[in-house]
Amino acid sequence: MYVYSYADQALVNERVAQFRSQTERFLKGELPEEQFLPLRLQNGLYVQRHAPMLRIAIPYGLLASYQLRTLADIADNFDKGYAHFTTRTNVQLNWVKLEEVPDILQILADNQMHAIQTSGNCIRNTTTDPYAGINADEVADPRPYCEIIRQWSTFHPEFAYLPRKFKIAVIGTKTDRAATQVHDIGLHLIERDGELGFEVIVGGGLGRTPIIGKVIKEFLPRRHLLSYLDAILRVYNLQGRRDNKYKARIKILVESLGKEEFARLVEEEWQFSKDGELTLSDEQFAKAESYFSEPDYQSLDVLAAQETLQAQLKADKDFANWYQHNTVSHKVAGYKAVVISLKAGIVVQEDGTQKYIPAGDMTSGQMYALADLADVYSFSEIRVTHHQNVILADVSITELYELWQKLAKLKLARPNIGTLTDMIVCPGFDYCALANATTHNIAESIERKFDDLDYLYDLGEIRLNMSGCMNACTHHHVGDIGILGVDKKGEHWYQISLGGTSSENAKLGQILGRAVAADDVADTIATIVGVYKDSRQQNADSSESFGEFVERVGIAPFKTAVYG
Amino acid sequence: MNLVHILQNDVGSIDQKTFYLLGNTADEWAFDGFKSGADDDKGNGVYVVLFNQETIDKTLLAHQAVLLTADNTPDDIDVLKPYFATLQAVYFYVADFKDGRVFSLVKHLRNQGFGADIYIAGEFGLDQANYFVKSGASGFIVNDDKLDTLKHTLKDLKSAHFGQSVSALPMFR
Repeated sequence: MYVYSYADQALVNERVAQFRSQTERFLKGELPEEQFLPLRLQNGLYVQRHAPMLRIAIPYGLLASYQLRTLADIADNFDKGYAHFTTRTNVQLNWVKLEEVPDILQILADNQMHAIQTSGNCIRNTTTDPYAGINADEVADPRPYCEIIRQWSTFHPEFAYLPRKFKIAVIGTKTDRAATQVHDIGLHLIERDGELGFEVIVGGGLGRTPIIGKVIKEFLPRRHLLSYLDAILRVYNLQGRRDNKYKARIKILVESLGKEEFARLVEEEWQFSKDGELTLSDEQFAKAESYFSEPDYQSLDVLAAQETLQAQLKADKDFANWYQHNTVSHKVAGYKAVVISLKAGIVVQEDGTQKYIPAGDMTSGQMYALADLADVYSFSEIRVTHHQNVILADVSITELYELWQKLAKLKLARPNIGTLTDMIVCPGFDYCALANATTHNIAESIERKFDDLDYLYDLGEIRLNMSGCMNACTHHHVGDIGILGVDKKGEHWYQISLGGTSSENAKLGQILGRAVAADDVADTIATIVGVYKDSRQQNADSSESFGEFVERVGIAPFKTAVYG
Repeated sequence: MNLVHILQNDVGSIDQKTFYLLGNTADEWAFDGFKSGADDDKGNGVYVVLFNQETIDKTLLAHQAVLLTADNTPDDIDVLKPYFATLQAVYFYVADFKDGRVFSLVKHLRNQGFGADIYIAGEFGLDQANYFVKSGASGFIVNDDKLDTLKHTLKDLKSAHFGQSVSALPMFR
């Protein structure tokens, strides 16, 4: 992974000093609240319902084990002993004190981390495929490009006060696991005539006005990556709407101009910088790639290892369930990526009581232990996914059984990846000042309704995304099942949509009908999946997925079942 | 004399068509004043005209600087291009610090080859100063009471790149 140079370190140290000074000026009344607001936001600091919330960047979801320990230390010493992993692969602390934030930022800086541009109307954390670098069918590893974009966008002087926030995602495979088509810019690494480059998609986004992005350049040679991004951002900065925050994202500009005109403007602007000093060289790409070289994979007797693994799977059904759902194929024979579910659901505590653990939450104890496991089993690296799970990307199959046993003791081995209970859930009204409705109570009711693992496995992969407001932090529009919390005269209601996907054939879900009451959400979901289970097409080898089923039959049968 | 010295209220009133600036001092961002329509000390000062595409041809050559706002466009800057050699400065009036268009207009001016001074005035944030400089601005016009803070914020993030060159990114230095 990327290791800070002296220049990176100087930069984060300067940022801490700057924010310390800004905070002191604010607390002394020398800096108006209005001007402090964007400054604190660009340091990841929100004022939430109960306390300030600090959002810490995890660039493209990649963490070293020592950094996870640092996060655990901070959670213990400055917060309530846990952290929340987000859909932008960042991590949030919900109970920090404003006056202590500069100290937290210094600790982060000392450990090659920061909270820079995790909020505000600027370029945010670039995201990518959580399996980047280990996909067998990858055109190229997208992480070096993500790091180049990170460095270019960090403190870019021209683009710190954009009309609205700006999100970029990069992938290196045809399969889209980073929701690139619902980003402000989606970049697909492709190869043409032996040259690497990008298909450039612009103007995707969710929130109040969900729109699928549009291709404005079919092939951009990789050397032009930064000059072309520079041109897109300048056109957006100058022409994006600033009169209405709900119309200020680039998607609205692209829609209003039309993709051809927007592409023309970008092309015109690009001429100022094309082939200039923003042009990347092969030597620079090689340097960036050198930070993401393969770890020291061990040469295994794969056949023997497979035999042992098969025996372990046969002997232990729980391990087999976990293996089937929580491990992912790897380009290196004898290795697997392990997905650790941060959807613990309802957990029995030591005193025997049950407690719902919010999606994406991890205790400091779990973080310390996971860091140790990463050291032992996965080259000291941890990845965070936009599905709010974490990954150990390089685990030998000879060590899977041992790792699973250790994860189980930490309550981190729930075998529900890809199932209905692998929900993406935002903090909702309980924490977020923007939210209109609670989400944790709804997620808990769904957990209680769907407590039969075999039934979940029978349903197959169903992505359920639940947002507490229109801002759509959980991407509810592109869930197989999307749930949106709304406020109706002080009461929380929930609007359900079906058939969305953020994969390569991205599609927005269709709204089922009128919102349902909080107490009825879990039963409604049960009715919906019941329609699917009873009517899906199946043969001996496979069954129609939920998404395929909705595509084929539409939402009418669901409407009839839910509303009569 | 130190930096600056603007009468914020005068600057706030950009409806006036012309402004008058006393000459620079030895200090790199220094102005003695920014007064509307002043006639005194004309010999040492710089006239600034509020940009207007319809009138600019008639007035610009008689003046030495132009005042733009975030509402101006790259097309407006293109209109100024023939006068780049005679313009002593371009001033940007920032009405709302959250409006980041001025950063890109400054950059566009530089991209077009404008080599003289670009000054930022109005309701910009002092914490934005180093971003303005890195985008291409030469200086600022502020009240005396903001001077010390401005001197401090100009030193912020001195290691950060200018958005102009790949070789300035930390990985490639």
